[in-house]
Amino acid sequence: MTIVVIAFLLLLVLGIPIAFVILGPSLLYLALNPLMSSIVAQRMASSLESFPLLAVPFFVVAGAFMGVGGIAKRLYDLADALVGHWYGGLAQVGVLNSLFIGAMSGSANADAAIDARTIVPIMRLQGYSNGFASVIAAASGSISPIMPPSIGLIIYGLLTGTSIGRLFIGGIIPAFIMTAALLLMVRLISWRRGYLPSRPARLPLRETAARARDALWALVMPVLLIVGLRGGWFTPTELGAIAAIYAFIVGLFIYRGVLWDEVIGIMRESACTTANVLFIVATASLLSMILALEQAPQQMMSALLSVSDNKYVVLIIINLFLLILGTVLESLAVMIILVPILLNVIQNLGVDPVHFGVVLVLNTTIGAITPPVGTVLYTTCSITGCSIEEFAVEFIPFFLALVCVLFLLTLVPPLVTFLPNLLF
Amino acid sequence: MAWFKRILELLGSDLPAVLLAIVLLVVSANVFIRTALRESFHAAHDIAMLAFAGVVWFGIIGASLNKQLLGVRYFVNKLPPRPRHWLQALTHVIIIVISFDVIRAAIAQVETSRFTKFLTLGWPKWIVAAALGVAMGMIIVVQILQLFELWRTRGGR
Repeated sequence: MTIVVIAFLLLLVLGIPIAFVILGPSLLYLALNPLMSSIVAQRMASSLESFPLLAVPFFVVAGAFMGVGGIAKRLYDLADALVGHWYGGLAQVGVLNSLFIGAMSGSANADAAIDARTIVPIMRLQGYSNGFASVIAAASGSISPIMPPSIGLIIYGLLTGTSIGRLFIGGIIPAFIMTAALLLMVRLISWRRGYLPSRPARLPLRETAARARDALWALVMPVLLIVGLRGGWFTPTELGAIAAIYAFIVGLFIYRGVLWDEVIGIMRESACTTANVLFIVATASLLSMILALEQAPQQMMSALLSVSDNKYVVLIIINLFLLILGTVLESLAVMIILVPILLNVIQNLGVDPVHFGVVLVLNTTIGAITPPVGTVLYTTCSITGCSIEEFAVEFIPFFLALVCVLFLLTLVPPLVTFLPNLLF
Repeated sequence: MAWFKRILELLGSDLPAVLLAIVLLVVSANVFIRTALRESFHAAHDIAMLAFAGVVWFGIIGASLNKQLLGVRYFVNKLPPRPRHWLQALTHVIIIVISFDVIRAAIAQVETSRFTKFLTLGWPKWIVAAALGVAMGMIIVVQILQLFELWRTRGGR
């Protein structure tokens, strides 16, 4: 097993795509052990035979049509009407906009990319530093994987067998807490640096109402989806399909932001994103089998329980461990590799899997922003042209704010479990 | 070479986009037929799963062609140009070796799983493994093309 771990780290450092970083050592393990080679293809193929996994491409498509179709722009205008008069007006708009976008897309990368393309250039023109603007795009993107629907929560639900509906509802309060924490941090920094509001006074109520009316088709969508889910019309996976079709129809026929010619391009891009993410999921199923064969979950469990049998102490240790791991590993890979191992630990300690799921997804999302390795970090910096060093310095206060929220959610489980227990 | 790249794009970008549209339409149609018409669309599940596997397997060809496969380039990018060049070549070779091994596994899977079928369609399930093998074959071709391009840019310096 040692040689497999060394091979894994070596391939990772060499810059090999993550899926092949997982595949290579797994194949090496199978070569060193008497197992049938067909198991590789069998595990990879069967890992995709999961209907709930279809939600991933559906929300990717929904996010793409929202970004192009005009939904994102109208939500931005509404956010501007609500918080544009606060200190650091544009930055506040960026954060609040992410809460709205998060209610439809579910991907931190998609959200950060939308903000990096739309809000960051305007922020720079208005005197914000590129680093600060880029960090706003990335940090506010962390709300999306917590606010339902969330691709991260869907994958966690699939890996653990936890109800995706309960996970979705469990993410609502944490997403609002994260938004409040980020808005507060933006306000503090803007006040110190003199980042002025976008406008001197609050917009008249009539104007705000007009913008809300303009964004009505976008605002109605999450409500319709939650009602449809609770009403039993469709499953969380089918909800993704309906969201994608809804975003397509609104973008094409109502807001007229999408042209027919652009549809194939959007579908191509969505298919590429889907393949990128789910190929990692397929290869990780092989790795999780190997970890099970090596009894890694049991070893991990006994190691953690030897430190303490208090669930909060263990949860804090897991959080610290994941935060460190998140700086060097891709968030999805962290989740796929460790969730099957950690599941045994949390079940033995009596932790609610919905609570753990939301905490874990938030933790891995923070990992996706922290340098040196993070997909959200790379997505944002590649669009805005910000250096990793500048980003890292500007991210510190937002990192602290997000970590505070993480530990608050870890230590106060009802913040996550209250709504799902009430509704299910 | 351009026509060959076009074929790869067709297989790695256009086909997955069409398959993704099929998945989306089939699942949405199933919801509509079930809730509005009170009927059932039995084949929806199988069609969706099959097309979905196609999106992933063929989609990675496109991702590989456009150098969009998710990886950690941080450490490699810190290197000076010359060693970075060689390391990039090594990366392509490693991917080729791994892909070969997956093809071998896919062939073994096709040979051994003759009996499992998609229930409503009646098609054998080994076609998913076969598609994986084809995708890996195409990834090898893409890696060879990129190795060739890497060699040419080195020669041009």
